Amino acid sequence: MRHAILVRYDEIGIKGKNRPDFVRRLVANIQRATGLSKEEIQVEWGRIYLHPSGDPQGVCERLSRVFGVKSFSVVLAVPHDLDCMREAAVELARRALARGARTFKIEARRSFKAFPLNSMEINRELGHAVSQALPELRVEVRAPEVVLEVEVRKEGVFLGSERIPGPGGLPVGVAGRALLLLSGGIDSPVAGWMLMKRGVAVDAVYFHSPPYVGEKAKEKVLELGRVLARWRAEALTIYVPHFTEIQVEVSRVTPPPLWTILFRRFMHRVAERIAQTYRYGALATGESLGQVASQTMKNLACVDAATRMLVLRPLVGWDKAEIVRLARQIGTYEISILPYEDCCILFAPRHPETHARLERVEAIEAPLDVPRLVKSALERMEIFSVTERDISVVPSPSA
Amino acid sequence: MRREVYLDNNATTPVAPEVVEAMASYWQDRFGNPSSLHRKGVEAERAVRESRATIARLLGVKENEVIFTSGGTEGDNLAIKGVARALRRRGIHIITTKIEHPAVLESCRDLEAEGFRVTYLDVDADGLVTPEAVEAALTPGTILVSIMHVNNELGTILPISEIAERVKRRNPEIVVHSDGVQAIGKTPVDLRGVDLYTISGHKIHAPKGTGALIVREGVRLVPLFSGGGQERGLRSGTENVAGIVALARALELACENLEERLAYFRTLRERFLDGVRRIDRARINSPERSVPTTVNVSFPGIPAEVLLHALEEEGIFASTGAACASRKRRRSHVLEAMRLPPEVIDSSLRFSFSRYTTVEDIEWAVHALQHAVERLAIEASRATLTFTRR
Repeated sequence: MRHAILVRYDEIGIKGKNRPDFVRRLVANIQRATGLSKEEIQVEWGRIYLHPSGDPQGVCERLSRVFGVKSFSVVLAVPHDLDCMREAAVELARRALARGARTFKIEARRSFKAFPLNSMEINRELGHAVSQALPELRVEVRAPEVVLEVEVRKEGVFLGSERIPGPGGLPVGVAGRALLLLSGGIDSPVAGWMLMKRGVAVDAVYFHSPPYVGEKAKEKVLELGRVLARWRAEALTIYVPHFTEIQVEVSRVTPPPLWTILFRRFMHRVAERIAQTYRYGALATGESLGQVASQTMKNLACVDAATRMLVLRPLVGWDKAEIVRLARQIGTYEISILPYEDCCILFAPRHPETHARLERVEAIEAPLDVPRLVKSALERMEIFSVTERDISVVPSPSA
Repeated sequence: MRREVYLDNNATTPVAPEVVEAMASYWQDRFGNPSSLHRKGVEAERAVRESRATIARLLGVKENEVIFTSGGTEGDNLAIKGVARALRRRGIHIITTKIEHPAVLESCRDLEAEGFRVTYLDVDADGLVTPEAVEAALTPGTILVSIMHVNNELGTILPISEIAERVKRRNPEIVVHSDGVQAIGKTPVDLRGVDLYTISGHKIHAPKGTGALIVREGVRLVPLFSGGGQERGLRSGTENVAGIVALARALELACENLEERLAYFRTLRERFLDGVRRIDRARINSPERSVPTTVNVSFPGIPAEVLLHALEEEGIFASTGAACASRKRRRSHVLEAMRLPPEVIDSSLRFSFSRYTTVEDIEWAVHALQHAVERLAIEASRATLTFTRR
């Protein structure tokens, strides 16, 4: 009798050609997240079994952040032998009893048809064994406090009593790579998380403009990156272009109401260049329609016109309250509400344009030397590699 | 290496080499617990006793009047909550000012929640509280007056001796506390009439986590911590022996040749002010009656935080006198109490010197400041409408 972790994944939407890629990626991500060796991971049809030599608790904690995992259970693995199964069932029932359970039922499934007993018979046998050993526990078929699941499979018999929900979604990496515009705010980390949940490998770009914002604002974004990295199972890259010259130049040449849109157009251009160099398929932002006065459909259209990149906005239809709730769950909220701001008040117009027209934006932008400004941001770019544990500087091949 | 000029000594200071040397042997060799009965304990106990004697001598108090704490915040909490809770049967009224450190203000708020009544005195245009104003606020139920000695943001020196004298003349039973964290080593300290006085180590080149509360004989306090009864039962917890040794040594350094050092600080201040006055739009907020180590200055129209970071790029470290221009962060309660206009508050920077600040440092800083203000003034003028109207 030994412990194993049974991992279930959702099969809807991954039928056909995607399936092998999906499973391969999920297994790789589980391996990276849990730190288990290849030998400790057993892949079967429709199921993944983990056989951690160490503490299964830590593995479970990390599994709960691996996208693509629908649920998992700590199970007892025994051979195809009724006595062993009885022993394991009694052991699990004893633990449930210790936790205060009073009623139970056995729910067996037999995919290994060579096993001599069918599932009804297994239910009866094991139920009887538990009732005999632990008379305090009563069988209750309709609404038991504990369901003892028994899976009889070709590779062995697995018994478990508690399904822990996983985060669902698709394994990070199966849906391509995107570059998230990460500010210090509440929304953008949530947007990144949403995309990771859909299988996108997300890295981030943060626009730093010293001295108009301080080091603490950058530190805060790196901290947000650390939280996101927990969900990615591998290091998250954060590109930090130097945005100062763009802000100064735009504010020097153009009227304040358009600053926000023009800054964003530049952010997208700079991000596009990074995406081309480092092979990202899309940009992503935390914008939501009407969230602030400047995030209107017309304004978003003006920003999108600056590049030819696909821009993903997973929060577009979300309310602030919904975003905040999710940010709390993910663990980014407490960092996001720290007071260090990502945009200096000097560059925040009092009356931002809400209905920008592209022709006018382009006309006003005309005197600016766009390629030079984009280049200035990239020339002094810093790159960080961020994991849950540490933040390291990546030597930047000056773009 | 790039030149660094640290002018944020009111926030914290580097530990002096003399202090490191004095405390070093208490980390690994003489590490005993003063309460232990063996030689190791005796050795540590002696170090604590000698440090206590040094501090008492330097501040002109008795040895048993020195209670070691973890720093300014603890000292203020112990003094204010300790007195209030001990005297609540005699009265429930406390007097303090609007410009105190949060450790004092928040302690008072906690006491308000316990049913005490607190008067927060206004300051005049110089950030001063007069003895007359304190006297006028006294009531038959007043049990405690807590007024800081030197303000951390402006450097204002408050007349605590005169205040104490007035208060005692009206009613000698009223306990007088003063937060002296920013006063030590920056102005002569005279504790006549003062019953409780808070000091902190890391503002005078001792490590963080060190400090003391002077508690005059006969002043009753309810302790904050329950435990082994160290420090006359007022502060339970194994003594921070190395930190206590460090505090005593740092206080020695702060007090020796004080007059000479103050004269030196005044030269630094004059140089700095001369330079700053030549900068367009500069406005000095620190009053005449302030310690020579603190200068608070505004450059209206330029958000303080932006100027702070621009100076940082030149290796100059200062502090925003008032947090930043953002709406998220609160404006400085001290500058608001002085009724300065919002654009002055939002653009105020604090420069604070220490014994290690040199004339070259000051000149370098003034130069950088001049340069940064010129550069940012252009940005600011463009955004003026945006900025000042908020």
